[in-house]
Amino acid sequence: MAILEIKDLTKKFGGVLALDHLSFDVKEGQILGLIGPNGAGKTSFFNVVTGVYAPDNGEILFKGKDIKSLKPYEICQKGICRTFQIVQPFRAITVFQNVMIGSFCRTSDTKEAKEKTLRVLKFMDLYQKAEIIANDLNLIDQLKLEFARALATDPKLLLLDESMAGLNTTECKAAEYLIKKIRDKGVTLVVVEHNMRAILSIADHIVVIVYGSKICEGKPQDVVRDQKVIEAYLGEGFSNVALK
Amino acid sequence: MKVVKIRNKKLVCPKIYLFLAIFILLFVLPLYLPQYYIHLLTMIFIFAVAAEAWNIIGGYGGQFSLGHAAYFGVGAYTSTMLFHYFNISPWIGLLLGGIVAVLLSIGISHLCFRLRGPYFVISTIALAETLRYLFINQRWITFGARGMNIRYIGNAPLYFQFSGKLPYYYIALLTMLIVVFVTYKIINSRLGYYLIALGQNQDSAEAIGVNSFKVKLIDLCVSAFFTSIAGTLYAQYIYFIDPDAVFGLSLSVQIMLFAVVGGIGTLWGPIIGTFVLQIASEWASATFGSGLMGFKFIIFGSILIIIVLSGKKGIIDIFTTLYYRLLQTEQKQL
Amino acid sequence: MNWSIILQIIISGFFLGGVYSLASMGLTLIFGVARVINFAHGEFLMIGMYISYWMWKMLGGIDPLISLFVVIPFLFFFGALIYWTLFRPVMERTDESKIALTVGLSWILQNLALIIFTGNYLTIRTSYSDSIIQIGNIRAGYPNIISFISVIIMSIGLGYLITNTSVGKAMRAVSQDSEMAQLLGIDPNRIYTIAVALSTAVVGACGSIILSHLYVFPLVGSPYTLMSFVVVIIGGLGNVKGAFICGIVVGITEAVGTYFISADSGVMLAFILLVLVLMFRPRGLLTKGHM
Repeated sequence: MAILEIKDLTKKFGGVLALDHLSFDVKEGQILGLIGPNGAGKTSFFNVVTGVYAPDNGEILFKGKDIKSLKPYEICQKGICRTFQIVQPFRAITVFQNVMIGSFCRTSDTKEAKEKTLRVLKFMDLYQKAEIIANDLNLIDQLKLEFARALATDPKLLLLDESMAGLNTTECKAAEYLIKKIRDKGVTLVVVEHNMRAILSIADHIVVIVYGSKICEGKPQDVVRDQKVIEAYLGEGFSNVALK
Repeated sequence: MKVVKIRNKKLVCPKIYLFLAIFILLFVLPLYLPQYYIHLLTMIFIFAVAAEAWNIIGGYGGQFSLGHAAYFGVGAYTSTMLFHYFNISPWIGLLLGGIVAVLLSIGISHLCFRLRGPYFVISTIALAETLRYLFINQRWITFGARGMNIRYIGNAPLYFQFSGKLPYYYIALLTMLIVVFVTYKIINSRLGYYLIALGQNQDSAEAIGVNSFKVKLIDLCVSAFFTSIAGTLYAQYIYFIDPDAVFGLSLSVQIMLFAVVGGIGTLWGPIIGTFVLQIASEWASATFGSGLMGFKFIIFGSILIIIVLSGKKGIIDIFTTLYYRLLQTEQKQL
Repeated sequence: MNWSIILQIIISGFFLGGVYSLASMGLTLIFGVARVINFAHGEFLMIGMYISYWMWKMLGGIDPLISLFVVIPFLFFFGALIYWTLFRPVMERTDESKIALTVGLSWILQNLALIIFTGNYLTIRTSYSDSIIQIGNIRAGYPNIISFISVIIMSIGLGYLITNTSVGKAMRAVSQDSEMAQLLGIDPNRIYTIAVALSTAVVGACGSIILSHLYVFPLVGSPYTLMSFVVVIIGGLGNVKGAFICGIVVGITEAVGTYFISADSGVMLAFILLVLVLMFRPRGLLTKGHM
C-alpha cells in the first residue's frame, strides 16, 4: 500500500528546473533510499513535499489525500516529519525541551507531553543526556536529537535528509541501526544519503534522481548495476563496468 | 545542585522563599506607610502590569513591539468613554477594553507578523501613533488633546471608585500578580514551548508542527488584553487621560524599557525593572528637583545603554550570574 | 482644483521631501552598511541645528550654510566617536539590542539638550528670511528654496561618493557581503565607522539647512527619525537611490495630507502609505535590497 504517491511533480526556481515530472510511490513500512548526484533535487523534493515550497505541477498524495497546498506545520500534523541536511536543533535549550516541542504536536497537555518525551528519549538512548543544552552535544547526539524530536511528533512518514553527513564509520553504523529501529516501530522512511554503503545496507527500495528527474528505481542491488545510474555517478566511460 | 538554565526558567529553590517574603511584605506594608509611598507603589504596580504583559510578546514571543501604548490607550479610553457617555461601570469597561484590545491585536497581527526586525518595530510605532492621532482629532467624542476626566462620584466600589488609596493599591497589586501567574502558566504550557522554539528557529519549529502565526497571535492577544487592563487601572486611579499620555510613543518605549532593564524574557524581570526604574526616577526628581526635568530620561537612557552593552538580559541576568559566581556552582551539567 | 494649487502642493512636497530624502539617505546608509537601526538619527539633526543656531547667535548672524563647515566635520567625528564607544560592542548582536541602545541614546541626547538649551523654541533670521518668489499664484520662500537646493546638492554629492569613490565602493561591498569584503582586505570596522560618521554628518547638515525656516528645540529631531524610517522602509532598507526618491514621495504625500485634511494629517497619510506598502510590498517599493 502506497503511503506517499508522487505524480508528475514539477518545480522550477527561476530558470532552474529542480523537479522534473517526478513520479514514484513510497510503500508503507519500507525504507526508501533517494540517491543522486549533488544538486539533483533531493532536498528540493523534501521541501516541496513538506510544504515549504508549492509545486508548479503534479500531485502529492499522502495516504490517498492531496497535501500539495498544506503548510509545513499542517503536514507535520498529518504525519510527515522531516529532518534537515544541516542538523538544526534548538540550540539554546536542553535535549528534553527540544523533544518536548515535538511531543506537543499530538497533545496540548504538558504532563502527557513530558511522558512521551521521556519515552522517546529512552528509545533513542538519549535519556542520560536529557538536561544537556543541545548546542553542547556532539554530532551523533545532535543527530539522535533530531530523530527524537521528529519521532515525538508520531510521524507515519519520516524524511531524513543526509543524516549521516559528517559521521565516521562507527557512527554511521549506529545511525543505520537507529533508522532500522525506527522502521520497526511502524514508521515509513525516505532517506536521502550520499553514503552508498549505508544506503545499500538499509534501503528496501531505491529511487535515483538526476537533474530533478527519476532515472531509475528498484531494489538496491539492481539499481547499482543499472547503466544509467553508473553513467550519472561515474561518467560515460564507466558504463561498461559491472559492479559486484 | 542540579540547575537547568534556559532563557526563562530558573529552578533554584531559595528564590521562591525570597519572593514569598516580599509579597507578604507588600500585602501588609501599606497599612503602615504614608500616602506618598502607597501612591508610588500603586503606580509601580500598574506599569509593572503593562511591562509584564509586554514581555509576553516582546520577550518570550520575540516580537519587539514599540507600539504597546495602543492597547494601553484602548483600555483607558474604552472604560472612560463607556462610563462618561453610558454610565457603564468601569469594571465592565475593563473587560470590554480588553476585548477591544484583543480585536485590535488580531488586526495588527495580520498586518505586522509577516514583517521581521526593524520593519515590524516601525509598523508597531506607526499603528500606535495613528491611534494617538485619531484620538486627538476626533474631538467630538474623545475631547481631543484636552483629554477626558473621569467623573468623580465619591466612594462607589461598583463603579471602580474608592475614597482612599488602599483599594487601588490592592487591586493593582493583585492584577500584577495575576499577570505574573498567567505568564508563568504560559511558559509551562505548549504555547510557551512553541514560543521558545519559534524564537530559536522558525523553520525548524514549523517542520515539527508549530503554527507560527497562530502561536504569535495568541501570544499577542494575551499581551494586549493585560496591557489594556493596565490602561483602565491607570485611568481609574489618575482620574484623567489624554492621547499623549496613554497612546504616546514615550509610554510604549518606557514599557519596553522596564521589561528590558529588568530582564527581557524572564518571569520577574519586568516587575523588577519597573520597580528599579520608577524608584530611580522618583529619587532623581526628589534630588534634582523639577528644575532638571529631563534628568529622569537621561537616567533611563543611560541604564538602558548600560544593560545593552553589558550583554546581559537585564538586572535578573546580572544578578543570576553574580549569584552563581559567588556560589561557584556549575550552571550547566555536562 | 486648479493647476496652481496642485503645483503649490507639489512644490511644498518637494521642499519637505528634500530634507526627508537627505536624512533618509543617511539612515539607509547606516543600516545598509553597518546594520544599525539608529533610533537616535533625528537627534543628530537636532545637534547640527543647535550648533548652527549658536554660531548664528554668537558670531553675528552667520548664515547656517556657512556653519556647515563646522557642523559637518563636528558631527562626522561625533558619529565616529559614538560608533567606537557605543555601537562597536553590539555590532554582532540582535537588531533589538541595537534598537534598545539607540533608543537610550536618543533619550539621553534629547534630554541633555533640554537641560542645556532649555525647551524654548528658537529660530534665526537671515537677510532673506522674508523674501518670497512669486510666479503667478505660486509662492515659495527664499529660505525654502535655498534649503532645497542645498539638500539636492548634498544628496548628489553623497550619491557620487557612494558610487564613484573607493570608500563608497567598499561600503557597498560591506553592505552586500561583509565576510567576503573582509576576505578582500576591507577592514569592516573602518567602513562601519565611516558609514556611521557619514550618516550623522549628513543628517546633522539637514538640521543646519532647515534652520533658516524652522524652529529648533530639543525634540525637533523626533519627527525626522520617524519619517526617515518610514521613507527608508518604503524605499527599501539599504537602498540609497530608493531613499532619495521615496523621500520626495513621502514629502508630497505629507503635503497633500496637510492641504486637504489638516496639519498633522500629513504625517498620518505618510503612515498610511507605509502601512499599505508593508501590506503589499513588505520589502519596499523600489527594492534591490542593497545599495
